[in-house]
Amino acid sequence: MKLAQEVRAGNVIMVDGNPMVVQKAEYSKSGRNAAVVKMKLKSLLSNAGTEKVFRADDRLEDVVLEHKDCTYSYLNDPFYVFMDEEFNQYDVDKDNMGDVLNYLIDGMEDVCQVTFYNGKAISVELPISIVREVEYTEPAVRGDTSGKVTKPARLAGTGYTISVPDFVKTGDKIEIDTRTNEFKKRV
Amino acid sequence: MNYKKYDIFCDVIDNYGDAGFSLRLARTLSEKDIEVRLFCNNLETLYTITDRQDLSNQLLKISTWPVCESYQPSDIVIEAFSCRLPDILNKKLRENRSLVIELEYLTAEKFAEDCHGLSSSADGLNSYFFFPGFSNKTGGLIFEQKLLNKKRSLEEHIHQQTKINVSLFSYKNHNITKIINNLLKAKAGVKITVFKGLALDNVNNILNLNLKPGDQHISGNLELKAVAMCNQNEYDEILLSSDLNCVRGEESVVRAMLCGKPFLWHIYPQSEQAHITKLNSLFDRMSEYLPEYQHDIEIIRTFNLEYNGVETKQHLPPLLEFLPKWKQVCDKWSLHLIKLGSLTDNLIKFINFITSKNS
Repeated sequence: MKLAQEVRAGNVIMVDGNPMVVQKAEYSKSGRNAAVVKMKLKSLLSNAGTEKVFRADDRLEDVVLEHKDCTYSYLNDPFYVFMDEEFNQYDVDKDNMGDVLNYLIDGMEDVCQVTFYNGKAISVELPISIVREVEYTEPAVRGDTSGKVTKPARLAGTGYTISVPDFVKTGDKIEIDTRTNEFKKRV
Repeated sequence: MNYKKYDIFCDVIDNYGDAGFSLRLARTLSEKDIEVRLFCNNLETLYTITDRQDLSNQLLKISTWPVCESYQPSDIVIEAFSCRLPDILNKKLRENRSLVIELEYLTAEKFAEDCHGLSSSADGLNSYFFFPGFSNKTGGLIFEQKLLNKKRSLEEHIHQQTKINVSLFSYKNHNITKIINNLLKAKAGVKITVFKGLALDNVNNILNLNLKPGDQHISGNLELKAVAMCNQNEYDEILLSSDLNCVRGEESVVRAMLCGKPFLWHIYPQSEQAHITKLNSLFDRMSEYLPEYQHDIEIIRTFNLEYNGVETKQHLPPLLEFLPKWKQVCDKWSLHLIKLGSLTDNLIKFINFITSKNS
């Protein structure tokens, strides 16, 4: 158990029988040295978001989740199937894939982290850094090499578009920070 | 579904505010034909401020906190100042699936608006936070039509008074000396009504007196009158007939604001000066809603900060000269507060909304 005032963003707590990841926790002193904590939460099971308030000294059940390194295998609609080193397969519901779908391509070798709750795979995280091919981007206008001028680039496999520097060309392989969806460098 | 039975739990931590607020809420709910059981763990304090009408009110039952075996919760349970119930009572609330309202402390800070009306779920209860406040994004403040009527009728009477009347209800506060010295500059006589308890102890200590309730002390143009604690109706009348009200805590500052009279708020001290942030937030709010009085509100803020021991180093006008302007601002402020609707009505609406949503 954790006091509400000890809960931080990234922690997972049980709320009404649902494991919820804390996206934001704001502590405010209310009166006579009492305090409240407002939390922005997202259900790990349904991805639904909600906001709750707790007294700072409310005791909340914190959840320790299991994680496994896996690679993406194939789509078995509506599940994405991931496999660990021992060839065990895990189904992740399409609705729980979130932004991962922006970068998920057949044959990718990126090692992803699958999160489990009660033995069920509930979410997937990509590595912080991944490499993807640019399927299409407009040619550079004046050959800018500073990287300050940006333009959209569509990624191969998913069609997801990110901003890249003007010097990036169609067919280039680029490194992307998956936390921010930002271009890091040309590979 | 409109529920007609509410329970209110009041945990008296100190002084009269917990009991005062809970009693007023219970009384005003009963005036809306709701049967209210007010459970208070310090009946001695509560009975100090109740009047005969409260005791004969058929819709209002006052008792101490229940022992679990005998307690059958109502469908609506209000925890005043978000007081914490023992696990054994919480179990009863869970079994009964009562809707629990965490009625919070009063603050003008922004977080009250952000948290107002949100659900909680702590302890497995079906609970919601409800914040009193100063904007329509909060629950407002408790007021009764009879207070507004009294205000109207007493205002004429006050114009005929020659003395400056001040009411003094405070915690231990050395800064009252500044106020008394400031008031003594007045040509007109000043009468200060001091309430028994911390306020009277404080004045006795500072002025080296030994006044007891009923005693009077006259020194030059200053008259001190010591009075016993009174019930809420009598206190309202004192606030309304005073030119300046020195109030403390939440319950009395709310009444002073609603009366539209100049007030000095001795705010409940908290750690890390959190109370000063709260005090400043109130005047920020006043400025937000009464921008045309911003300059005067800054003066009022400074008087209040100094009263709470903050050295502002600001030049302040003589208090009595500023009083008419101060009154004008407070009048406008009370109109703003009244426009928000009474907390009691807002709370009933909120409860009906939640229960209909969940049914």
